Amino acid sequence: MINEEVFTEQAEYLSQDSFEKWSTTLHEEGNIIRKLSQAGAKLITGPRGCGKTTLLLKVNQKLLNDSNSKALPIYVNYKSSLKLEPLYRNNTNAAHWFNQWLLYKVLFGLYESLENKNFKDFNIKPLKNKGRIQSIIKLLELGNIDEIQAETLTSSTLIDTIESVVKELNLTRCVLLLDDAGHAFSSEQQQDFFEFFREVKTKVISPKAAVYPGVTNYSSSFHIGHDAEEIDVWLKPTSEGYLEFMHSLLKTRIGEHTFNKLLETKNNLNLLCFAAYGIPRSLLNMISKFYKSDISDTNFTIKLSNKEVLRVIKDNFNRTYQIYDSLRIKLPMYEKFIDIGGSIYERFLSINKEFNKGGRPEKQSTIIAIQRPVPSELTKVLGFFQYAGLVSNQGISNRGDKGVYELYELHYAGIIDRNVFFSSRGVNVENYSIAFKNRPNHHYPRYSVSGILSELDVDTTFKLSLPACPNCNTPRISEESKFCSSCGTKLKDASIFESIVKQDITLLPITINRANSIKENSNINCIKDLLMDTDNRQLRMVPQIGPVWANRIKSYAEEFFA
Amino acid sequence: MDWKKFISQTVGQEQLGSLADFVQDKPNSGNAPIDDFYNEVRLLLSLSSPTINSTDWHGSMNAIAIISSTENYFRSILGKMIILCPQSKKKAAENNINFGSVLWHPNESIERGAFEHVSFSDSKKIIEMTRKYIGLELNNSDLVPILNEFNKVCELRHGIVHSARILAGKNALMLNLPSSSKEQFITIGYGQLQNIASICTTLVVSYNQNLFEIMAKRWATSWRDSTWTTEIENEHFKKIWNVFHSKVDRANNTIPETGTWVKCKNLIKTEYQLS
Repeated sequence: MINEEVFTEQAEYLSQDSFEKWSTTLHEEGNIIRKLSQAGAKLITGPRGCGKTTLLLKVNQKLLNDSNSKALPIYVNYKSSLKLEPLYRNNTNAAHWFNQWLLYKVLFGLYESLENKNFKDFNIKPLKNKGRIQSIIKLLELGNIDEIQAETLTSSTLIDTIESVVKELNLTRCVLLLDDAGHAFSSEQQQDFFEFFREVKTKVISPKAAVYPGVTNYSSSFHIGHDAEEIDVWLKPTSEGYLEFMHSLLKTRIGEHTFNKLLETKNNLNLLCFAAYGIPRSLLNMISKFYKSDISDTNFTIKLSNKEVLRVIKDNFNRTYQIYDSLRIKLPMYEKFIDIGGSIYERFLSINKEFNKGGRPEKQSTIIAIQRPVPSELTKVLGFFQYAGLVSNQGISNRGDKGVYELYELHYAGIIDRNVFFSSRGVNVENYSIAFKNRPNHHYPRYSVSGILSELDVDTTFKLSLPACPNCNTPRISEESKFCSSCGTKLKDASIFESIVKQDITLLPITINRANSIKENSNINCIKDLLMDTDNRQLRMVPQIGPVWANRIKSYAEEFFA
Repeated sequence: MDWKKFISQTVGQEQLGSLADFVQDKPNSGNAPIDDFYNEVRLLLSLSSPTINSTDWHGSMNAIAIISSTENYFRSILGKMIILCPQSKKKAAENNINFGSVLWHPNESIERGAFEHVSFSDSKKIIEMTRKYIGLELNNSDLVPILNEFNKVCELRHGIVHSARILAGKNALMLNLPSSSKEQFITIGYGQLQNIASICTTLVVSYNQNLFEIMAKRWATSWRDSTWTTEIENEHFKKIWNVFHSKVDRANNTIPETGTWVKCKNLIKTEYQLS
């Protein structure tokens, strides 16, 4: 049977053995890993699923396993940071408590690194034991700050502790690997995170953080370039060796035998690789659709028919689009932005389709150029596109007197699904592969903002959807209102975390039948119920949910607000 | 021709007129200080719509009025503490009071006189007065971030009150604004006014909460002497409740826990293991 983990898409959910066995290296990756292992602050950026976590875990492994390395790695995953976001709505000192959580998580990571390095008896003074640190982290996530009032950890204490450990171990530096840093949906937490990032940066401690493009807000005192070098780790389909990398990734995951079967329809396989648009997670998901659960490793049929490939690519595009569309639930304030963004994205595709009409395979555009200045509202939408991976920022094109243009490349699955190349009736797989392999330089449609938005007026179209007064239900008279104009009640911004976890479990990537079965056979109805079911006791009461599925559903719930 | 009359119009003698026209009796509202503050701010905010121009005086004047209401809250609540809390009374005895305040105020509001010479438009003063009169240390408390924000508001206030909205260099430095070759002009529009009101409200609500917790603790511990009876216990707690509990928030359903003063009192007694 196929290993359960083969199609596990997120690196953090793979076992250590599988992670090491299935790691694939792209030639550029060596440079990135080297940069992440060295001194200096770095930020790695890329959309969901592009491999940021994989890279940080690889650096962690490399530094832990290399006995000649002079660096102590500390890996910290901050994906649950949104759990502390409600504090920003009901505690005047929320930034302090969030900072405590950041610091304690690093301290916990230090213990784990020392254990992995087999320094189990290492006594970290003057701080408490690992169990208490874990409890403090938990209490902070639950908002029970009264129980930890007297246990404040300062950044200087943490720095002193790490530096003394580094010295004690005869090492020269510590590499802090901060994953899912500064939550994508909470700008307050993002800004506080970057203040923390600046604070912990010393001659000995080099922080590296993974952030999302387009939606990351840095603090006013944080400057990219000065405070940290930014590295885009999103593997672009135009990169040299792209197809080889995607092939080798598949080969290591599904085995050579299966991979060779896929190679029999190479154009279709390559089209799938392009449709993944540099996201290994997407490629694995698409290939998994060609498997049946009872297929054994050696005796199976797997055929990438044109029709099936195009259907799977459509699903992949819809799945990526779903990441974008799910922002309406996660950021209800921006609901109208998301709606209008959907139309704007369709316009990008149709502009390119029109532009590509009659062009040769090597003259097919995937890029939209937008003339500056781009209003902040449209920039926000473009940021959401980048977060979801629907577009990738390709820099700018300066055309002197004719203006400066921002370049955005559209997701290749969208290009295929909407048949943006050639304007022929159907998708010709071979021609598409040739077109994707031969991207033209400086050949793309250029548009002004008004050309893109057509008759839409920025001021009246992009409105924030802010909740009415909770007391008298009077709508807000302005986006800037902090008090109800009718009853004078202080208006609170809704907690993003609270509104996300109130969502029904049917929004998770599970079938309706399974969701209904969970509701009928347990006390679980919303995502919060799943998170509260810490030992999966409720989930395990549901028929056909064993330990594997319980963990998987729990990870879906955690991923939902990550 | 008289050269002295070349530069402006001429003016004659002016007098303020009857001072009685400028002041009038203000009946005691009987409200908790926090509710007086809420009512003032609500009234002030209702005077400004989203269409007000940030370069006009309108927003700035309302901002000063909101800060003034905030200062009044501190005078009022601290004054009430001196009357209510034996420890605060002792602390107050260590401090001086202006003789003028004693002469002017009727006996029942003489406690306000203790704070007449103090401007509360400065977080350092709020911290200092709280320490001197209540014996409560606010440094290192959860109030520090909001006190820092209030200080920024007060730096802006300084420019509005003293120099026709031109920001003084000292205030600009305190606000960490970059230096400029041009004069910096304070602009308060609808959004800025709402932000100022929000900061002042958060400060007042948080301070009110902190002080309530301290008074509840003292009521449950140090106020109890050999003469303590159930009647005294209830009477004292009712006074605390009336000073801190917001009827405005209760009417707006914005108080997280619901219940009467009796329920609240009993919960405190449980926490401090009193019967």
